[in-house]
Amino acid sequence: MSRHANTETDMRPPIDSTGASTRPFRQSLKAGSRYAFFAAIAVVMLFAAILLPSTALAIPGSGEFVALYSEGGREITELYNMIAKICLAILIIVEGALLVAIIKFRRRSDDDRPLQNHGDLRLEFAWTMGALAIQIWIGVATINVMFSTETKPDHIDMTVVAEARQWEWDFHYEFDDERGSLTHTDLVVPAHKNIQLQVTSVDVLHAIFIPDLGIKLDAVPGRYNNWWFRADGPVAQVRPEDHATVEREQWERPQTRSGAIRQGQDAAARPVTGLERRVDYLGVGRTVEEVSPYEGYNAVEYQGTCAELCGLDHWDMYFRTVVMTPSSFNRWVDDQLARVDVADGQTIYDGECAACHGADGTGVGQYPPLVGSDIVSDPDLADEHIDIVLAGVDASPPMQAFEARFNDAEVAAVINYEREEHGGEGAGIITEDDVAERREALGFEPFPATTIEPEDTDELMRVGERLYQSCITCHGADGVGPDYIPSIAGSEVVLEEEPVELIRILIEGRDLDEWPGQKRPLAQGLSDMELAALLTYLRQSFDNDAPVVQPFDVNDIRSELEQTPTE
Amino acid sequence: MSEIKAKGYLSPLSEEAKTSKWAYIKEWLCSTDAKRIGVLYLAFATFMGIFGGVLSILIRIELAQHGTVLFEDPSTYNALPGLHATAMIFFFIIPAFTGVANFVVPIQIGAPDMAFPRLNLAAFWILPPAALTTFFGFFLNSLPEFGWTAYPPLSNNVYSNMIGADFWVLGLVLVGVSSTMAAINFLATIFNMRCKGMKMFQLPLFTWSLVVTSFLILAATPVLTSALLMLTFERMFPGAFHFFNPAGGGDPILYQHLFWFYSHPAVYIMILPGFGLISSVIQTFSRKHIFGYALMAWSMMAIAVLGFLVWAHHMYTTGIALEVRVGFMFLTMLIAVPTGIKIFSWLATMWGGSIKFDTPMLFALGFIAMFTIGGLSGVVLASVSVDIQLHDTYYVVAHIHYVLVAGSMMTIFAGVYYWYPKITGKMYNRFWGKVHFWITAIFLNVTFFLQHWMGVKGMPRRYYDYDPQFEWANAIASYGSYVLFIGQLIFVANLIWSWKNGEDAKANHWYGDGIHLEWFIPSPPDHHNFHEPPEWKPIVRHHEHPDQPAGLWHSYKD
Amino acid sequence: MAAKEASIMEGPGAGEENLGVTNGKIGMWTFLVMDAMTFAGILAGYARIRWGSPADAPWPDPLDAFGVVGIQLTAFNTFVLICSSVFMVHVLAEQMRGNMEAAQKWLMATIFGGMIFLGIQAFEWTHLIIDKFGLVVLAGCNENFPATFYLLTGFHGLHVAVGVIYNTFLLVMMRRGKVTEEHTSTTEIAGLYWHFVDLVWILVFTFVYLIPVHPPGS
Repeated sequence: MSRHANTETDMRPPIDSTGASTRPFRQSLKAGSRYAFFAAIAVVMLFAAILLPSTALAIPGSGEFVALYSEGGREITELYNMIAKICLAILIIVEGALLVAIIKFRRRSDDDRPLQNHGDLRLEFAWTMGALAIQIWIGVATINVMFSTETKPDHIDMTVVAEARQWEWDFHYEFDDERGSLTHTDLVVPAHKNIQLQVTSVDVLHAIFIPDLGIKLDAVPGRYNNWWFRADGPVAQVRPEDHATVEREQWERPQTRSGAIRQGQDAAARPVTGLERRVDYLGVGRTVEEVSPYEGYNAVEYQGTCAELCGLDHWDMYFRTVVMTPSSFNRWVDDQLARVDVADGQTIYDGECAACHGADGTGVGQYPPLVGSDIVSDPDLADEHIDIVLAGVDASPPMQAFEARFNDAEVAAVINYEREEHGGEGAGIITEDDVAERREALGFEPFPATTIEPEDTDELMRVGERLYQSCITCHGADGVGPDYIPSIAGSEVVLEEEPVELIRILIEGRDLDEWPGQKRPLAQGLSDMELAALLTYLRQSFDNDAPVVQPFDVNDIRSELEQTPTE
Repeated sequence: MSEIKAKGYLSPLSEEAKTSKWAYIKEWLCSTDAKRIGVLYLAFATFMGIFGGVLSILIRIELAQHGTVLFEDPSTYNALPGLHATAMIFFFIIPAFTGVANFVVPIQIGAPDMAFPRLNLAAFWILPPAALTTFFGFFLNSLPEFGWTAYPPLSNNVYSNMIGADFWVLGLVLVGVSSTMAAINFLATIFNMRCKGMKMFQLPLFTWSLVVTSFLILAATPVLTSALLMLTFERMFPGAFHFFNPAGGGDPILYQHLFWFYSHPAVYIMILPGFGLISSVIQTFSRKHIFGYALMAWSMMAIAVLGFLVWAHHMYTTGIALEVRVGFMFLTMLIAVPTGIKIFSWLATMWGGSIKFDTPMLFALGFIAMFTIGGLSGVVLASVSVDIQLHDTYYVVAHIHYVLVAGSMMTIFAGVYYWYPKITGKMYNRFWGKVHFWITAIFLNVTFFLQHWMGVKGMPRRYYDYDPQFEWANAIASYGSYVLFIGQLIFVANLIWSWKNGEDAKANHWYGDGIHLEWFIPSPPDHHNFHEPPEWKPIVRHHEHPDQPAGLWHSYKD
Repeated sequence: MAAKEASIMEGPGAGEENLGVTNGKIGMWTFLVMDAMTFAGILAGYARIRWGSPADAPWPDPLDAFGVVGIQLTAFNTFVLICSSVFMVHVLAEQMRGNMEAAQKWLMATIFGGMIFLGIQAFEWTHLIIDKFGLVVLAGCNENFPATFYLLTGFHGLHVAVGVIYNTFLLVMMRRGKVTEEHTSTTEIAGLYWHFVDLVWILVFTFVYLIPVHPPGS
C-alpha cells in the first residue's frame, strides 16, 4: 500500500495555479481500478438521474404539458417548456460536474493529499450572478405570460358562475337576451369566445381544475374569484359566419407566439360530425355513458375536477367541460331551456312502457314496435304521438291512457325519450307546453308539472342545523336564550301551520320593545332552499313538532309577502 | 444483574445504575446530558419515521390500483395523507435533526453541554405526549380528514366535527412548544458557550445551520400556534368565534396566510440542517476544506430571510391580486440563487479533492444528485402561470418528496452514518450501509419520479381514486414505495445490530480527516465532552506540502 | 444527579465573541422574540378581519361599542400597568445599590400593580359578559369584534397572570435570601418579561380600544 502511495507521490506532476491535479486521466484510471466498481455504479446512478428528469420535466414540445386547448393555456405551456429547457440544461451541468468529480477525483490512495483552496471570489460571483440572471429571465417571461393570459379582455362574451358544493358543481349561465338564465351541472361554453368564469363555493374551499384548458382557481365561500379564457373547440367553429375575419389557417393550427407548439389534431380540416373528443372518465358515481349527451352537438369534451381537498368525496367531483361551436351552443341552450329530462323519461319508459314495447323499443309479442314507427320518428307526427300517450289506444291489443297518471313534464319526458332513443335522428323533441296544448285539445283536465321535487327532510335538517350556528349567539344552542330574547322552543310564531309570520320576521327584521337592539333582516340573503331548511330545523328541533317546510312553500309565501308589504 | 459495561457518556453515572439495568435505563430517560438526549431524540424519530412510513405505505396500497383496494370508506383514506405529513414533518425530520444537533453542536463549539440542560430534557419529553395527542384519534376511531394544512372552513366544527381533530390541533401546539424550547436552547448555546478561539465565522457549517434554523423556528412557529389557537376557538365555540368563517364576517384565506407564514419557513427548518451537515460530510470525505465558507454561511441566512417573504406562493390560486403574485414570485425565485450557490460550492469542494465513497459520502452525493431535481422542479413551480396549472397536483407531491426525501431524509442518513462511530463508539456494517443507500437512491426515484408526469397530466393530490389513465404510473410508484420502506428497515436493523457487534471506532474515525472538535475527543465522548476547556485555533492549511500526515490539517489543543 | 449534570456551565464560554451575558438572559430574549411573534400572528389576524370586514357586517366603532364599561376604565388600567413596569425598574436599581429591603418593597408594588390590572380586567369582562357584550354591539355588526376582543385581551391577561406568579416567585426567593444583591440578572430577566407584557398591552390597547373606525374629521 505504501509503495503504491509512493509511486503516486513520485508521479505527481507540478501543480498548476488552479489547484487541480493535472495528472493524465488514463493513468489515473489504471491506478484507481479498485474503485472502478463505485465509479461504474455512480455512472449508472447519474445516468438515471439525468435521464429520468429529462422526461419528468417534459422534453420541450413533447406535449406532456396538457393545457393545450385554450389560447392562454398554450402560452402557459410554451412558458413551461422554456423553463423546462433551462432547468434541464442546469440539471445536466450539475449532474455532469458531479459525475466528472466522482470519476476524476476519487481517492486512489489513502495517502492522497489534495491541494486546498478556500474559495474563488470570481467563480462564486460568477455563479451567483448567473443564477440571478436566469431567475430574472424566467421571472420576466412569466410576467409577460401572466399579463397576457390574465388581463381581462375588453369584451367578455359570456359569464359563467361556477358554484361548488360538497361534492358537485353547478354552473349558472346568464344570457343578455330574453333567454334569461340557466343552471347546469356541466360547464358548456362556446368556442373562441371570451368566457369569464366566476368561481365561488357555498360550503368549504374547492378549486375548479380543467387541465386541458389551463384553468385552476380556488372556490372560496363568500368570494367570487374571476378567470377568463378562450377555448378551442371542434374545427367547425371557424366557419365563416362567426369568424369571418379570422384566417382559417390560424384556427386549423393553433399556434403559440413562437410557433413552438403545433397541435393540429383537433383542428385538422375534416368535416365535423358531432362530438369530436369525449371525456372517458368522470369518476365513480358517473360512468361515462356509451352515448354522450353532447353527441348531437358539434363539440369537444374535457375533464374538469376539484383540486382543493374538500372532504369525503373530494376525489369524485368530476364534471364535463364542453366546448361547442357557437351555433351548437345556441342550440344547446335552447334545448336546455325547453328541457325535458331524458333520464326521467327512461325511468318512466322502463317502468310503464317497456313491458309491451320492449326495453329496446322493438315490441313484445303482438305489441307494436316503436323503432321504425312513423309516429315516433316523424317530427310532423309528434302531436299524434302525444295524443296516443295521453288518451291510449282502443284497439287490440289496447293501450291504456296516461293522461291522469303523468303530468305534462313526465309525458314530455317519456315521449322525448322514445323519440331520441327509438325514433332516431331528426325525430325532434317536444315540450311541456306541447303536451298541455294537446291535453286542452283532447278535452282533458290540465295537469301541469310540479317541477320542484320535495326535498329530503334529513337534508333540510342538516342544512338547517348548519345555518342555525349563526343564531346560537342570541338564541342559544337549546333555542331558549336569555329572558329578553324570544324563545324558539314552543313559540307560536314558529309552530304556525303556514309560517308566514316567521318568514316575514326573518326576511324583513322586526323591532321589539323589550329588545334592546335592533333585529336585522338576518335571512334576507338566504335562498328558498336555505330558508326552508332553517325553518324546518326550527320547527322540528327543541321539542318543536311542526310540519316540514319545503322550498316551494317558501317561494309561495315569499311572493305573497311581496304583494302585501308590511305597513 | 451483570455489570453494565459501556464507555464514555454511555457508561452509568450512579453506582446503582452500574449494576441494575432498570436504574441505568431510568438514568438515561432522566439525563440532562445533551448527548443522551440526542440519542433519545433519534430513537423517537426513528420510531415515528417508521410510523409515518407505514401510513405512507397504506396510502400507496390504496393507490396501487384504480378503484377501492384497501379502504372501503374514503374518509379513512382522506385522513392518511395529512397524518403521514404530520408524522414525518413534526415527529420525524425535525426531531431527527434536533437529535443529531443535540449530540454534535455542543461538542463542535467546545461546550460541555447545552445552555439549558433541563429545558433540553423537558423539550424532548414534551414530544412523546405530543405525538400521542396528535394521533389520539386512532384510539377513538376519529381522525382529522382535512390534510395537514387544515384549511377552514373544512377544518371547522361544522364540516369536521370529530374529536380526533381537536386532539390533532392540540398535539401540533405542543410540538411547537417543544421545538421552540429547543431553538431557544440552541441559540443560547451557540451564541454564548463557544470555547476560546471559536468565532462566529469559524463555526462548522452544521452549527451555523442550527443558528439559522433556530431563528426560523423562533419566528415562524408562534404564528402557526396563533393560527391553531384561533382555529381551536372556532372549533370549540362555533357560535361566538368566526375568524375564518365568511358567514360570520371572517376570512378563510387569513388562515392560509398565517399557516404558510409558518409552513414555508418550515421547509427550510427541515432542509437547512441537512445543508450544514452535508458540508461536513463532503469536506471530510473529499479531504478538502469547504469551498467558499463565508458565502455558504451567508447563503443560509439569505435563504432564511427570503423564506419568510415567500409564503403566498402556496396561494397563487386563491385569487390574490396579480401584482402581489408577481412580487412573491420574484422573491421565490431569488431563493434559487443562494441554493444554487450551495450546490455549486459543494461541487467545487469535491473538485480537485480526494473522494472516498463511504456510506455517508454516498448519501451526500445522492443528495446533491436528487435534491437538484427537487430544486429545479421548485423553479418550475415558482413561475406563477405554470404553478397555477400544477398547483395541488402530483407534481407538487413529487417536488416536496424530492426535497424532503432526497433532501432532508438522505442528509439525516448521511449524518447518522457519519457520526455513528462517534455516537456509539462502534462502526456500522459497511456492506448493509451501502445496500441501504442503493435501495434508497434507486427506489425513491421509482416512487416519486413518475409523479411529475402525473401532475403535469393533471392528477390532483389527495385523491382516493383516480382516472384509470394514471393507473400504471401509480402502480410503479406503489411498488417502488414498498421496496423503499423495506430498505429503511435494513437501516434500522443495521444500526441496532452494529451497536452490539460492530468494530470499535477510532477517535477521528474517518481516515483521520474529521476537522471539527468532535473528532478530537474519544469515541464515544465522555460525560461533559471535554476534560478541560478546549481551545480552538484557526485551521493551519498546508498548501505546499502534499505529503503531510493525515489528520494534521489544523492544530488543536485538548 | 441531574442537578450535578445541569450545573456545569451557566455563564458564557471562553470564546472572545461570546455575548458575555448569562445564558438566561439570551434565553429570555429569544423567548420574547417567540412570544412577540405569537402576538404578531394574532394581531395580524385581527387587522385582516377588522379592515377586511364586509360592508354588510361592518366593524363597530370601539368608542361606542364598550357601552356601560367604556374605555376610561381601561385607560386607567393601562396607566396602572405602565406604573407597575416603572416599579420593576426600581426593583433592579435598588438591588444594584444593594438595598434589598427597598427592592422587595418595589417588587411588591409591581406585583400589586399586576393584580390591580387583572382585577380591573376581570371586572370589565364580567360586565361585558353580563351585559351580553357582542349582542348589544352586534346589531348588524361584525361578530368577530367581541371574538377578537376576548382572544387578544384574554391571551394578554394570561401573560399578566404568568408575570404576577413569576414576580411573586422572585419575591419569595428574595425573602428567603436565595436572590441577593449579586443576582441582578435574575431580576433583570424577570424585568424583561414584565416590560414586554407592558409593551404588548400598549399595542393591544391601541388596536382594540383606540383606533377608531371613522377617524375624526372623516
